[in-house]
Parts: sequence; C-alpha cells; structure tokens
Amino acid sequence: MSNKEISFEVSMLSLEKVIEKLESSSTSLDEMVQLYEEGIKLTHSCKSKLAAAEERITTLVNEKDELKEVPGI
Amino acid sequence: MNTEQTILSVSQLNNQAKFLLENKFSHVWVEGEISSLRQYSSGHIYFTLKDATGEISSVLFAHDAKKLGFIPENGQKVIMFGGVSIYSPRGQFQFNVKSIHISGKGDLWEAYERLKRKLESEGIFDPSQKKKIPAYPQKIGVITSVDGSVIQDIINVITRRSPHIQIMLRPSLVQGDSAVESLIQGIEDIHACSSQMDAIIIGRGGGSMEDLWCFNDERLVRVIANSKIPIISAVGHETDFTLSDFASDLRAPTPSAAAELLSPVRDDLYQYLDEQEERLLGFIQSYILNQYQTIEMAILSYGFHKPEVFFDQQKEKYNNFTNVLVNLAQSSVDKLKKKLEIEYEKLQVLNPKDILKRGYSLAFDEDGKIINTDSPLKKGDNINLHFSDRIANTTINKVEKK
Repeated sequence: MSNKEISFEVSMLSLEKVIEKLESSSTSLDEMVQLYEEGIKLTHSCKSKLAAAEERITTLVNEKDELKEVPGI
Repeated sequence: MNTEQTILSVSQLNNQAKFLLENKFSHVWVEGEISSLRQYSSGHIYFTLKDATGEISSVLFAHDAKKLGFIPENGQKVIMFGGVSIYSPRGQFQFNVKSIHISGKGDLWEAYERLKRKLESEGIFDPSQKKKIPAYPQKIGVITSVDGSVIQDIINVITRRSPHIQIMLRPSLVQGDSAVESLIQGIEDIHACSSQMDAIIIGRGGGSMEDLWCFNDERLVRVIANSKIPIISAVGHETDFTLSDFASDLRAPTPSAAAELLSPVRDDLYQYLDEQEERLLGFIQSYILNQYQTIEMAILSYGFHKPEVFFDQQKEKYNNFTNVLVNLAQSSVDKLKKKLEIEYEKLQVLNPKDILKRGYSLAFDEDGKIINTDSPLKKGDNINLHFSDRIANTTINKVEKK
C-alpha cells in the first residue's frame, strides 16, 4: 500500500476502522497481526503528514482565465 | 408540601424562563408598527412593536443600531429580525432586535421569501444533499476579500490550531453588484485549480442585510449547492441568514468559527495517534495472554488422553507464535518484544524436540521440511524419521486415505 497519495482524512478514518475491527470481532492471529501492522503503519503515516507542510499559505490568482497559485496573500 | 420540591428564587425563575425563550425564539422575523420609541445617550433604542391586537417591548442595542444605517421612527411599519428574551432584573419579556427592515421596502423581502420557497421546493437546501465536512482536512480554500479582518482571522485560527493545514485564498468581492459574479468565479476557480481542496470557506464580516444581499442571489446559491467540494458559509454575524447559508453544507456563525470547525488541534491529533498505538499493542498482548490460558488448559485436560492430537495442535501454535515473534521483532516495538521474549521462553516447553524425548518421532522430507497432513506424499518418496537419538531413512510404499 503506497501512502504517498492517500489523504490524511482517509488515513485517519482507516485507522479508526482497523481499531474497530480489532475491537469488535474475534480475529485469527494472522489477521490480528496484519491489522496491528496496518494500524501502526497508519499512525506513522498520519504523524508524518501532521509534521509536514508547516503553515503554507497561498493565493489563487485568476489572470485572464489562467489559474496561478502564488505564495502568501 | 413535598420538601423535595425545589423552591426557585425570583432570579432563578426569570433566568430559567429566559433560557427557554432564548432557545426557542432565537432567530425570528416579526412584523409590526413602531411606537413609543426613545433613544438613550448610550445609543440603545427602546420601542414597542405592535399590531392590531398585541404589542411587544423591543430593544435595539447601540452596536446593532449603528449597523442599520437609519434611525427607526414612530409609526413606521417594519419587519424586524432578532430573538425573544427576558430582561431578568424586571422580569420583562422583550424582543432583542438585531436588524430592522422597513416594510415599504418589503419587495426585497418578498422576493427573498419567494426565492427561498422555490429553492426549498427544489430540494436545494435538503439536508440529505449536504456533503460531509472533512474531519481532518489538509487543504482549505478560502473565498473572501483580500482586505479586512476575515482572512486574517481565518489564518490566525488555523495556523494556531493546525499548522499542518494549508490555506489557499481566492480573493473575491463580497459586496456590491459585481460580488455575485466574483464569488461564483471564485468557487469555479477553486474547483479548477490543480491543488485539490478538502473544503471551502466562503466568508465575509457582518453588515446590514443589504450589504449581504449578494449572498441571496439565485445563481450563487445554486453554484454553492452544486459544489463538489464541501462549503462552509461564514457570512455576516450569527443573526443574519442568507440563502447561501442554507445552500452550503454547513453554516458557521462567524469566519473564525468556520476556521475552527475545520482545524482539529494538532497536539490533540498527536496524542490521539499515540493512544491508538498503545491500543493496537494492547490487542496483541491480551490476545497472546488468552492463548496461553488456552494452552494451559489443554495441557491439563485433552493432551493426556490424545497425545498425538495435542502435539499437532501445539506444533501449530508454536509455529504461529514464532511467526508473531518474527513479525513483531521487525516492527521494532521494544516494549512488546521484551514481553514476548519472556513468553517465548515459556513456549520452549512445547518445542517438538522435547516431545521427541518423550518417545515420539517426526517425519521430514528430503528437503528437511517437516511432513504434516498437508504435505504431498507419493509412493517412492524418501523420508527421514527423526527420533530423539537417531534418524531412520525410509521409502514410502503406499499412500492411502484413512
């Protein structure tokens, strides 16, 4: 599973689902270990997403129907 | 008299009644005629609003009066917006006026109501059509004026709470004749832009209902309702409701409130993620503890009667646990590893070699792999039987189902 393109929102919701699964059903050992690993992977990718992109503010400018995203406001 | 019965003080009764009324009648339009109007030096305006059969004391506070742009007069027929409350010190039932519109200009309001009903009947405001506001957005588009406090308020709130969230401003007019076109273009530009926004805030500061009028434009309302990206409207102040508010996916009372709704505090998120890691670990630990209890029980009962079945089961468990240990070692979770090492030692009791010492044998194929029920066997295969003290090489003569 490549985490590059998966949004923070999706990762957080997937994590909730993993925990829910572990909580609700009696899973086999294999499944449990798999869920555990998936969960840990998700928490790590969420944390790295939180750490990335500090305070990026841009302005979307429309110049004669050409859209440009420029830094700052 | 029941001594359990609460006896209220006058103030308590007033306050409870006030609370009830304010909840029930917080956003009300009421029509009538102004009388007994007096304005105090504080700027507050007091008057009575009446119709043919009733009247209500009304107060327009100075800061709202300033926004009106005109001073109401006795005898004027008006439509007022505001909420009902009780002035506790005097137990007086009154209408707190937020804005006043002269009925003579009523055409505007009739048009507003007509359009509202029309859009309503088309399902434009239908709650089931609302898009879900993302709980953890990464990129937020903001459509508002580049001047003024709105964009600054939004930036302040979001960068303070969620420095991981990116903000993209799409400057727009928010007042006047060209505002509608500008706002629509803004929404379309954000949809067309290469950075995918998770949500859009459309905001402007408070103003008179006339200032906010562009947000009642039918075309704008439709564009908002049809937006692919969830839109939070934060237009005006708490008391002004525009049709854009009804069409958006969520209405925030102020631009800062909109920003807050979209920005979970980052430290809380870190803490949440730490807690989830602990929980994940906990699931595995308690599972393993459970399994041990099962094994212990098996040792006490079943194994004694059917040793060969018991052995197969334990071998399977042993293999599984070994896998778990390998996996967890890779995931480098030291705490769990330490715990598992202790448990691994306990598992050594189940090592097949120990069982060989008790007089059983194990069969291995030519590659040295253990033969179990799933292994393919055919006539002529060479297999090795391992005893605790010797190995016998044998050839299979016949394989038949049991």
